[in-house]
Amino acid sequence: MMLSRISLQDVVVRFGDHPPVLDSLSLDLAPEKIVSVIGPSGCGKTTLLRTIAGLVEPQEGRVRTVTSAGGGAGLEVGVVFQEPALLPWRTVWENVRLPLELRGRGGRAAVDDEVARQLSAVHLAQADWGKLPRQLSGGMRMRVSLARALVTNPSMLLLDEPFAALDDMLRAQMNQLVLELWQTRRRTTLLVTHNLAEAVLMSHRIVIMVKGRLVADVDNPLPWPRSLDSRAGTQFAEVYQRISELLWTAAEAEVKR
Amino acid sequence: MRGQWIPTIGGLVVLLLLWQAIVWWSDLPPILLPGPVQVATTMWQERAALGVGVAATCAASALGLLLSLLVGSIVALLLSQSRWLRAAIFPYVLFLQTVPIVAIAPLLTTWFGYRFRTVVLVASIISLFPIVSNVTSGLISIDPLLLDVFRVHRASRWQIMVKLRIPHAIRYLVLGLRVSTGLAIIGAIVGELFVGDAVNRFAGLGTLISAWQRMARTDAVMGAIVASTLLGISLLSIVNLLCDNLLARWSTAQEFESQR
Repeated sequence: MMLSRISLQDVVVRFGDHPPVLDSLSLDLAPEKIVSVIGPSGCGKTTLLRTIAGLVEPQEGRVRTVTSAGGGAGLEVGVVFQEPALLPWRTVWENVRLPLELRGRGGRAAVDDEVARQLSAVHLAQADWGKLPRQLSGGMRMRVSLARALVTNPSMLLLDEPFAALDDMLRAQMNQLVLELWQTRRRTTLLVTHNLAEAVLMSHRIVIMVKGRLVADVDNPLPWPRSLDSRAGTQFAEVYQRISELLWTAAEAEVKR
Repeated sequence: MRGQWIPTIGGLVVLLLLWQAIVWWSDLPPILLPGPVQVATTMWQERAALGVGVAATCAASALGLLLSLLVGSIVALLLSQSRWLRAAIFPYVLFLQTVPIVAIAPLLTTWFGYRFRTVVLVASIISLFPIVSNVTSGLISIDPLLLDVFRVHRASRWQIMVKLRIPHAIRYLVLGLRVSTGLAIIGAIVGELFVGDAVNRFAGLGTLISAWQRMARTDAVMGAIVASTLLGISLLSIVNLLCDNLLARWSTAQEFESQR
């Protein structure tokens, strides 16, 4: 497996004349770990993710990526956005195949195998592979989006509040799925969320962001392997409580600033 | 949906009966208002001329539509390439939309002669605008999130065009094509009115209308109007059928259900 380490050094991102969305932000993401970024809306967490994905060019500072293959260029990232962002005229199968098509990669059989493998990994029944996105439920579309993010075998997975639009039941199912995927593949993952319980359940480390800055960085002692049942213990409640307080303190300090 | 045919047919029958009744009781000369029975009889008598007329007009509008589909798509592809190009060209495309076709048809006959090709050209010009404007918006109004998906995978401009913009625009093309089909028939008939009976081999419905009107054959003129309406409905049905079958997954048919 390709390890990858990402480090952001004094990154500044500004849109027009507004105050910076990322304000000399530094962050190191260790390989094979899930890091959650939480914070109030508009704190810049989505911009942070887009900067790492290469969708936003920072004005100052730099984003350095290191893979085990050496060199920093050409990091493969898989991104799941807030919405499934599927092409409505392509079937489930064709949507998941898209990233491989764009790379003009491999023989047909290899591509087919990979697509099938990812669709099975996100528990989509074979009967649904030929359907168009509009024939699927919201939860199923999100699974397709996740399969598409995984199909290039990325060394890093970036999840931008992917389950925010789902109801609690589906959200829990998707959390379970991502945990399961991480526990089998150990992909370095950045999860942007505004749901504290989700952050505590899913991550090794939780970073709190307010107004473009990192204001707290907490290791999550909740033991692995985890599942939805991990939410029941007292330890979960303790971590939740601690981070919740940190978040409030940070938010209040920002208001006074 | 099947049940809706009954009131639709019923409405037509009532209308025809009413028309026939007015003709019977009002003593209007047939030259002013022939009854539906007389129009039908004349249509039957003139079936040979009407048949050729329908075929000629159908050919002219279909060719005109194909031409505007081709030219319109190419223009739209060009327009989608840069904002600068759109500013330079689009206002003049808009000109096509606002200039009355009846006003430029005589000019076109001067330039291209009293020929079938002039009729095709008129049909094409009038049906060009909906295709250019719809396809252009289809090519440029892409959900930014979908563009991000392509950018994350470092897609080239060409890949974005072929795998994202063009398939996205097909939905818009189908909408434009539906409007353009009706317009192309209007254009063909207007063109034929001006090209006139100089072309005897290809006397389209417009030619027949202008010739019969000069002979004061009101019943035959009305027959030609009925024929052109039927032609319009048939062409539109064919276009709809083709779009629904060939382009269904791009045009996401269900979204259009409410507009039918």
